[in-house]
Amino acid sequence: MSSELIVILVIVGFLLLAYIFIYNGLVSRKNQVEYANGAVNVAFKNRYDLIPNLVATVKQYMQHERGLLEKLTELRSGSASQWDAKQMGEWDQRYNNAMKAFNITVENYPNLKADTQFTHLQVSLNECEAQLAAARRTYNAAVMDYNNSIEMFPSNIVASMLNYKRKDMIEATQQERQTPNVNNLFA
Amino acid sequence: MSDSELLSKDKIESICRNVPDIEPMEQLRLKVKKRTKTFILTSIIIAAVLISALILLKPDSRAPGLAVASVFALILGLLIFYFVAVSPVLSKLKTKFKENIIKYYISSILPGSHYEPEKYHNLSEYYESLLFMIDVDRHSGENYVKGVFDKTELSFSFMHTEYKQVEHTKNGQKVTWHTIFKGVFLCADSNKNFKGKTIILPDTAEKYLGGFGKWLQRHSGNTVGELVYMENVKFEKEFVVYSTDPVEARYLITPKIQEQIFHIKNLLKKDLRLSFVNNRVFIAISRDDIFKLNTSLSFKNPETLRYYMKDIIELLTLIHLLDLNIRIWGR
Repeated sequence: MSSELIVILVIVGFLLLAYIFIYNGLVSRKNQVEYANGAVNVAFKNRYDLIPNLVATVKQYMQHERGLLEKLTELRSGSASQWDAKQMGEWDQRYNNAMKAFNITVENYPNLKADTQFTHLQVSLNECEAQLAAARRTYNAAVMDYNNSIEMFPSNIVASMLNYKRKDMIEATQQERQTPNVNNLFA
Repeated sequence: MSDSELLSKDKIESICRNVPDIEPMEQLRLKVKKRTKTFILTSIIIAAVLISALILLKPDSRAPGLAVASVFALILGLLIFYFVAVSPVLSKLKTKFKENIIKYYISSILPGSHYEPEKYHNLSEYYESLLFMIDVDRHSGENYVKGVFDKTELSFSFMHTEYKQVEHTKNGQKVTWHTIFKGVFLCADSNKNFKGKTIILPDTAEKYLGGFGKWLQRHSGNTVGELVYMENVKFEKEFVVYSTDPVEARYLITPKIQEQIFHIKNLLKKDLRLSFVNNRVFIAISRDDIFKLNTSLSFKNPETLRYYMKDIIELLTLIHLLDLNIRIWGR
């Protein structure tokens, strides 16, 4: 075997190994993003599923708060499992608005605040919020890792061959970034 | 560490004012101090006499045996003096100190708690924490406290764990002992439910090797789980997080907790490790001692009494800063 052939084989072997290494790394990062996205969806669904319980519990105490109750009931319309990211974002915004209004109104109902079932629901909602926040942070970390790998050399070459595109992180909406104005919540 | 959030100044003053048997303890402390002083002075005088004698008695002296015997007799006399006159009084003072001050402080701050000066955490809890992966060959400890702070069940003690290294030399085996951990080991109930295992360790690789260190950590992994990056840059530089579940790790180590852990690390200026395992939080803080008696400080001085409370407050502040005493999650 000529020396030129050996050199060519070594180079080809090295390139092949590098390709496999980079390819596997990219697939692993893409899967991490999907896993994190799945975690966000699960946390989101858990929170969504608590709404009927919340409405059922507060209904008996807040009969005069029809508008607020309607807002809460509307949150449960549609099937969350079929929503895309955009729909989830929109729902999230509606949920946050409704909950802000709800939390302020609750202050006027000491009996409701003392209700064991309501206290338990509040705990569950808080838990869901914390888990959702953690899932979103995990998603963003996975997306950052993925985006880094598809933009950095030499993995960007393999990424473009696989047609991998940048993914967007979950960001706070314009409304979430603003300081809450209590008066607007009941509008 | 600030204790303002944990105990009011009035409460601290009230606890310090009511320390039992201050007068007899102070008398005992003065006795220890006096005897220690006598021992040190005698030792200095004897050392001076010995050195002078060695200078005066030349190697060709006619009575070298007598000189050596005198040296041994003096050293033996000193040792006997120490073990008969100093050591028992000192141990008595240490026992009284723990019984009268530390036990009293702990029961005042943590009502219904349990304090055992001679006991420490068993190795099963130490291993359960996953904070140290080296097998322990020798261990010791003291000052075990178990109690409830607000609603958090907790226990802490001073531990010293070591592993042994055996070298085969020409003259046989040479055994060297290396410290794995020396400091305060603390276990507390977590305020959150979790299933996985998450550990926070000092980040030596990233601190010294930067990006390359991070790369190494990512590819070398850890027996506990995968590397999990946290958002707080300051926290990331100081610590490395491994977990069996990255979502759960971030659920436990929120941005606020990252900030607090970094804050605690800066306040303590010690090696700090934390883990979340089996719905419990384990914390290991490297330090040389806890509840150490200082015989040069008078018990009659209110400053001294506040000084001895420092260790307990420091540990409870840690629980407070990590929000472990807040039961918003219904645990």
